[in-house]
Amino acid sequence: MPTKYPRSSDRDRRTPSISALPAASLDRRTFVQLAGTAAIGWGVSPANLYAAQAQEPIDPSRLIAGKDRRLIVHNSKTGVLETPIELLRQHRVTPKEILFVRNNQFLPGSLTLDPLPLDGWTIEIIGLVKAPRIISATELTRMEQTEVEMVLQCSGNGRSYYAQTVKTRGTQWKKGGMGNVRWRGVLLKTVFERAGVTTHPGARFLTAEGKDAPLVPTAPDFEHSVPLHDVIDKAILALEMNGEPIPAVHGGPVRLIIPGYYGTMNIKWLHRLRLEAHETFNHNQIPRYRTYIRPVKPGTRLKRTFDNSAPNWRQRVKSIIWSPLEDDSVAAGPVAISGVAWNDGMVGIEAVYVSTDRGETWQRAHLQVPASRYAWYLWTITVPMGPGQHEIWARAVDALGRSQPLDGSIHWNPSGYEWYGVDKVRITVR
Amino acid sequence: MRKIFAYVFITATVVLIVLALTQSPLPKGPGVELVMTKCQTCHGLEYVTDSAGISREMWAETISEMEEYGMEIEPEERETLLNYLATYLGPHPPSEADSSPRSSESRDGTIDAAELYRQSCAACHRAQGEGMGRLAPPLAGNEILFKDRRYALLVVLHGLEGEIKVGDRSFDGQMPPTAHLRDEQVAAIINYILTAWGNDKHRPADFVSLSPEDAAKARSESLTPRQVWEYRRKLQ
Repeated sequence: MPTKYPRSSDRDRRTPSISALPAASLDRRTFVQLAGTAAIGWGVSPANLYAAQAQEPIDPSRLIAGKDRRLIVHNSKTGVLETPIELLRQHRVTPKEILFVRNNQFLPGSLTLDPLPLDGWTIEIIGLVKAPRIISATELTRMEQTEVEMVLQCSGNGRSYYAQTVKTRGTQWKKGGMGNVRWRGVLLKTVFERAGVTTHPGARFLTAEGKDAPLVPTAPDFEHSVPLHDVIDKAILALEMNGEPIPAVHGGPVRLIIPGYYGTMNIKWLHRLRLEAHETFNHNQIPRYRTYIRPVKPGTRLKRTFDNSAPNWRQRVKSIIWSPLEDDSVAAGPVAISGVAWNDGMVGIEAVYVSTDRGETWQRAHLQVPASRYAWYLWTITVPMGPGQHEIWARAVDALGRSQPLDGSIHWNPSGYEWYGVDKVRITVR
Repeated sequence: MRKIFAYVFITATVVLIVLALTQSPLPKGPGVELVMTKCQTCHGLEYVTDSAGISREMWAETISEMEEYGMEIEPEERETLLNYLATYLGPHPPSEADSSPRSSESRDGTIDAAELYRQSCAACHRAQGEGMGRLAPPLAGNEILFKDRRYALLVVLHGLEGEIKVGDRSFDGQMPPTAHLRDEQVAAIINYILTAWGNDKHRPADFVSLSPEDAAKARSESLTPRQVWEYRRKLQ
């Protein structure tokens, strides 16, 4: 029997929408200030001149048709966009207009929220199988569909925080390289059953390729391997995102979705699946998208090998404070603090603890039941705070006791992946 | 009449200075052109400036990684690129006042157009103007260059975005604007392209070489790479 994920109607009953949360503790003045700053940013400014003149378009909606103008542009060529938390926190399910984008490569016609046609799209299944198969995307639409709401997070999300010790190269994501989205499609094992794919016992990894191509023809084409035993029951060949055909920029018409895994493993524009005895030697599997298995001193440059490092597969337990935000100013008295927490979905989130005295004491936040074990848990707590400069810390713990390090740089790695340190924001209480 | 001319001239000068200052997010310094051309083949400059502050060793690793991704670079270019990145985007960049705005330009004032082409264009269009993959069209024997005197200027200064066909090959790379080049440099590069690799044979007898003034005029137009593509479509 395929795994049953809750349907949307069930979810809507079980999980209140974010608008039902206590009002964010941003006061009106701060909000107006923020809005004003944004207006200047997009109004008469050198940035605007610069965009209009030549070098690169800065307006995200010009870069990817349909995207919100308020997104942060990290790479204007392939389209790398981050969602400011002010936008992210307004929705339980992240709308396509504000969902982050991280593209390594380029597929012509994909820089848009419009879908690509399903007709003529095929997926090849080759490698350690009894007989190779080619299935069409339209065949997938006739198979039993499964839906899952889950956190999609770039493995580089939070990279900028490694700079507290030694800055690492790459896109300096803050907290918004993530979102919570609903995917609908066919479970991989259903595809195998229906298409008559019999895997060889030696097949231990699933390697996925998209139809996109590197910008320079001699570069290694992007692909990733995941452990077959771990994904076979949950991976989905997705056809829909948030109830409509997957926007082209988010990997439609068919995207490999592996709930609980980092975004990079969720191969866009899925075109070929290979069953293999070993994970791929492709540059994007090694040395890229890996972290050291044992902690190293920040700044250590150690060649990443299959033995000393692991791929960005299962997401680490993590929580993010999304109200108040860094540099917010709030009134003294009871301060409403809220955020989200999630992990790889293997077990549930057990608790989120919040500290307003730099870890001296911790209080347990109220957790809401998530839409699925792969979706984010909304949490809230109200803490009395007196005037002055304060830090708010948040730390999630899951049912296996896995938690976030107080100092996230314990997981330092040369490319700055998988930041999951205790989340900290500095605020002013008036 | 003279007054109006002077007014227009001063306004245009002010606009050009403002634009020149706002065009590039990169600090000026020896090797900045290499960053402009080598790095923008695959990604935007934000990706470079995002990493500002990392060590020389990490920049060296980054360059090696980009070579894995197909960046082709000569050993001495690699040295120049690394020196630039490690200095101006390193942990202790010099202050703005330290960097002379023209430090990377030709030593004696004359422009070596072939060298400029090699630095600014050859990363994608290749040494003999043969183009690359589906990314960059050939410049050798590319007839559209002779259909119109403005077209090449607009592409160089404002970029080009959209699928194009040259002969029976199609291309969908994005040409970044290389507006950091001075008007004399832009004119020199294009004049070089219009005669190199046998292009002189395609060149109509009445095709006048481009001047820095032509470049200045093209620069003053405010066009997006997409609008340049539309302009190209009308030429065909």
